[in-house]
Amino acid sequence: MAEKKIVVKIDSKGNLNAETFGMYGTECLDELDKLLKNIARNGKTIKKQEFYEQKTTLNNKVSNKNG
Amino acid sequence: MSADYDDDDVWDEPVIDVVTENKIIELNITTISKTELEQIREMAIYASNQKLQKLNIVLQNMSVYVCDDTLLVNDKYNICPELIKISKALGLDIKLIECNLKGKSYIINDKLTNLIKAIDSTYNYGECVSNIKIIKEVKELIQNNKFTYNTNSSLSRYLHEIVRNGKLTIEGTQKIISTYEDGRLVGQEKQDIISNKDEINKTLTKFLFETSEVLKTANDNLRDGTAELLYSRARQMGYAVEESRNGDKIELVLVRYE
Repeated sequence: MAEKKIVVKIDSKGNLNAETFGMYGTECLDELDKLLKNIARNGKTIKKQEFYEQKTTLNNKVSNKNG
Repeated sequence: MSADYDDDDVWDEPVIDVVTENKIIELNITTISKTELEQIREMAIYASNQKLQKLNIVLQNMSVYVCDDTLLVNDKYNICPELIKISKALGLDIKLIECNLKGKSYIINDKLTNLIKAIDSTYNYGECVSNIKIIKEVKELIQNNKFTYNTNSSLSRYLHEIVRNGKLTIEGTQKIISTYEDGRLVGQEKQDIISNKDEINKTLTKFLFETSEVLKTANDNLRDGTAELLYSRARQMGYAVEESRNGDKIELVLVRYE
């Protein structure tokens, strides 16, 4: 099972810094959007390497050739 | 040759009169200026509204009544069981009350309102989150259950006067003892001015100190309230949450497995 982690830091003035780990593509932005909606106003977004990577998925297709 | 002098020709003793008067003196108190008070009011209102905006995130789909600077929140369907925890983290006073309204009902007050009202009696708390017109039954519930805070009416009077007139002026009395000799002023003694200026200065200085503490606490409350809201939402999203504090910073680590 893949671990998905978000680390949120809140400073004394209520400023937020959130970083995702183990999330690929736009998944990180979607998760942060769900988590921070209405709680934090949009600020600066820095896209990590994972944002540009697509998660590799393996589709196992089983076909029965014998009737 | 001799001359006789009558008693009438001898010099008379001078007539000494001592007059004591209590003079009223106007004194200006300059411990706090109108500008400083207006800044304090703006900061306090901003902090109070920020707290309400954060709280409003969880007040969706609840009835929120406001009266006498107090909120009554009716959570008909128990949508937010963490309301007490979130409100307390935001530095609000909250209690569950027994009443005939369906579901759970809470009374919420903010101590910041006390500070704001001391400066500006026209301020009305909670209007930005109220979403339902107050009814008589709810008004009575609020009046019977609201939190009460100590108010210093003298302090409010001083602050209101500074805001209204730009300054605070009080009266003091000064005893002046004048000595007259045959109608001519020959001496005058002015004693110290007696007033409650020192006491008022002490009250205003204490107010300034307490205000800076209250506003600092309000910032901490906003931070803690934000953390509590995130904690609640993260749990709803299926994350396990671990919270740690480092000085005045909070770190939340949210973990989920898929």
